[in-house]
Amino acid sequence: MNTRLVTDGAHVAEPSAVVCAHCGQPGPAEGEALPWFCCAGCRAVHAVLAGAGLGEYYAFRDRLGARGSRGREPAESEFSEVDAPAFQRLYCDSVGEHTDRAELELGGLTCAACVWLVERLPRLEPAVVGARVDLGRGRVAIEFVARGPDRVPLSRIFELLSRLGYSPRPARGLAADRQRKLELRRLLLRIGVAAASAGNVMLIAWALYGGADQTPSGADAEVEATLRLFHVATWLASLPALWAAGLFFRGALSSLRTRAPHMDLPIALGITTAFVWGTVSLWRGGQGLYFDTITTLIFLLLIGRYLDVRQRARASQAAELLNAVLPGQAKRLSSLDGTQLESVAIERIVAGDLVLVKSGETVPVDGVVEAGVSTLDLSLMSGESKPVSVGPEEPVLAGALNLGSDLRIRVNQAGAETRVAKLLDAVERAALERAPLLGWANRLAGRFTWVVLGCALAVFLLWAPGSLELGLSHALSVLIVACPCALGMATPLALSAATTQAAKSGILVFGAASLERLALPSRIVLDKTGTLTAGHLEVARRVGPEDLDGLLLSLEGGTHHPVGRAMAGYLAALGTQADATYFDAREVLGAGLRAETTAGPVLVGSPGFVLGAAQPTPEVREALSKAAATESVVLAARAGVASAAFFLTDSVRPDAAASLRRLAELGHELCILSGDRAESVEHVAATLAREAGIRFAEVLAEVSPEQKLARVKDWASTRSSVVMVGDGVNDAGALAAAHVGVAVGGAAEAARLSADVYLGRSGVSELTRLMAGARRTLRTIQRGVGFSLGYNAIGIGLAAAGLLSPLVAAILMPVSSLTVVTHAFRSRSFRSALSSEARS
Amino acid sequence: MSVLFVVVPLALLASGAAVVAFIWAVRRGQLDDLTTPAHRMLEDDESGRASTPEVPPPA
Repeated sequence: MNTRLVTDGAHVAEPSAVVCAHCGQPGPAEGEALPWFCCAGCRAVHAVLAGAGLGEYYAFRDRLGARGSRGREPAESEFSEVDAPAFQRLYCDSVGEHTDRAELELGGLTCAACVWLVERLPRLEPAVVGARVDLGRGRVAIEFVARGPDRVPLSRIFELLSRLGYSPRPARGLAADRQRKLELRRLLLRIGVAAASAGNVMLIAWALYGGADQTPSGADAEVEATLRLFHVATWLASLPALWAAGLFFRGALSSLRTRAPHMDLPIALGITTAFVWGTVSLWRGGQGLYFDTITTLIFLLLIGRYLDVRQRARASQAAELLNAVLPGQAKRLSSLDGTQLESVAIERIVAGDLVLVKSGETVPVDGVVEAGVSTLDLSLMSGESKPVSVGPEEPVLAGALNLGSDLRIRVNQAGAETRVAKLLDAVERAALERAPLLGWANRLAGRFTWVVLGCALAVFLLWAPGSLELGLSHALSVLIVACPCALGMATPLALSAATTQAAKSGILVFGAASLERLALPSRIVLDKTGTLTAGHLEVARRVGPEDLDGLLLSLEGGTHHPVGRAMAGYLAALGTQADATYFDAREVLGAGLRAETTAGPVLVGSPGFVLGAAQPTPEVREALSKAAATESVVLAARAGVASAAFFLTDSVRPDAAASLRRLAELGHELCILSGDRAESVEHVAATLAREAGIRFAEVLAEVSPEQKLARVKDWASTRSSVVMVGDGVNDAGALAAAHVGVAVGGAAEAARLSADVYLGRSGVSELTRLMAGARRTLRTIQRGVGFSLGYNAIGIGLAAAGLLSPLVAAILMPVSSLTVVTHAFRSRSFRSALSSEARS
Repeated sequence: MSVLFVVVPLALLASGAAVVAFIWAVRRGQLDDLTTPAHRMLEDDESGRASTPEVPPPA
């Protein structure tokens, strides 16, 4: 039994340790008063939920095994722009006398517990009338009182959601979204109508199959009349299905006009011939009414079409959401002394403006630091895993996260001119340039179309001289039995079944066609930060006595700096007791911390900072001289003696080596393409190559996002399958340019949106699962196509020889489709991947 | 057997009514989201209907 509670791959906490009662973050030490909270934000959410009687959220969430996202106190007037009349006109619809409806994108929606909580918004804010979550698209529709005495500003609702730990944003691209929704609705309507039609026709037709048709004519006037009733009823019931089949007729017409073979052509021809022939037979009181065939055919074909459209709709949402990376507004300082501070929309910021970026905020513009010293996390942009210090006169880029203190930035470029905006622009272009992937099954079906039409014509010409009726009947048998509907459905159904299975096991596949590409032996391009390594610093080892640990834990516990957080996490995991017997603690930005104690000043931070005021012990001096270039070093000193040293690295994921070996065994070629520093990339590559016993085809470091894009584009043009795996905004262009882009767990939003596949859990082992599952899916498709082709070949042969009556063909046709459907849904492409993983 | 002359048209009418109901449901957007309702039913709920009225789709 595995008793350890594994959180997101990096943290391993004993269940006995204190965890935050809201978000489940491990606490510093045992013996804290319960419930314990990691931050003020979580404490506030907990209180709000308990106050509204929604405390059962926690029980519900724990049953699902999910984790909450960190609660957050929104900054003053952070969402004030949503109350502007212009915004309301754009995003809110009036739905009642006093109520408005707004649709929001909601970041952080993960599971049923989130649905439960967000839909209980009316309990937290009475002015909210209703909230409806769409988990699949990460959206919520909120109806609220916008006019009258009980009105509530929309910004209040935004603040509330933000306090609960979700990140609300007005939903963009609503018009295109509605368009797609309507298209799907129209298709669904057609399916429903065709289903009702087919069901009713079949119901009556079964009586005819049962022998009613074999009644000798002229036997009995009443029997004759009943039979007539049945025939007319099937004809009537099949009419709605003809309306539903309208899109096949349109497709066939455009196929004729462009002279491109399309599966719609034989389908439309078959339906038309069968219906006309059937109606003529009905008129003449004869046999061979094909209404059952026609309606079932239309119904099954529409289902395949629906699955196809739905998948493509998901894929095309990506590009619209890329703007989400940058904040929607900036804090502009209107006078030089910084007394006048106003929040303005990012579009209104121009070059030369002075903006304030507070600690914890994302830099909204490209510019130069005017005042302030801080540390920036650039991992989103450049892939550099170590935070970078900036001071006055130094350039900063939009998209960087401010980890230290407030910065004043003189704007050089804003909005569409920033580097990140240009990068995202390139992402969109790359996504457009990518040639539409036409599966081999579709190409095959296109060629097959001509074969079928040719066969039907040949059969007709062969038999027609003898008897026109027989010729038509046999040709119809060919058209019906060869209806490529099983062939056409084999691919979309297998892909749809596989993507559903994959989604259940934590892998989201947006363009289903990319699964076909993943099944090929590919060049897999890996990003170092976050894919192969944990993506954040961890203390790997330490030297020196532990007498300062309590003080360090207490000092570092308060910082947001990644090094400080790594130190605090490491010390807390050791079971250190926090010791707050210091005073006058100050953060020296970009360097470390300094505090006074009764035993002298305590310094902790970079070697340059600490050694400026302290002498290292011999042990520390020796460790320093042996430190690898890839390590970040933190020294701790008291009263002029630096006695302890901590070495931090971005550690390689424990599962990486084994997964890479498996990928190499599957015949894939591996490359590393990273924006990180050369020595650290080469170190990781060498370690992995040694542990996994593999060879990387290429290892490139210090690559800019633009170079990444160019390199991947280059590879993609000469190889049949290039798979890019990454997680940063800096990877977004390359993800879109590759044949298949794979974003890994915890990826930046832009990376996620430009990718075709999103792996819910981080790490390379998920990638192995994806590649193996894709192989299995392709085999399922091949089997399905092989079966339907074989069936068609035999069927056409029999029909051409006149051995197959249209009725038998009509019964065999749905049976063949059914076999393909069953096969597609019974194959366990991804679930078996999971269980095989569990076995090994 | 003459009862069939009443029953068969009646059956067709009944299924016509079902189709109308289906069209109504699709038009109201009840089938737009097929994922969330599956999660929503997991809630053991006291006051679900009262607190989460159906938000009508955009006009």
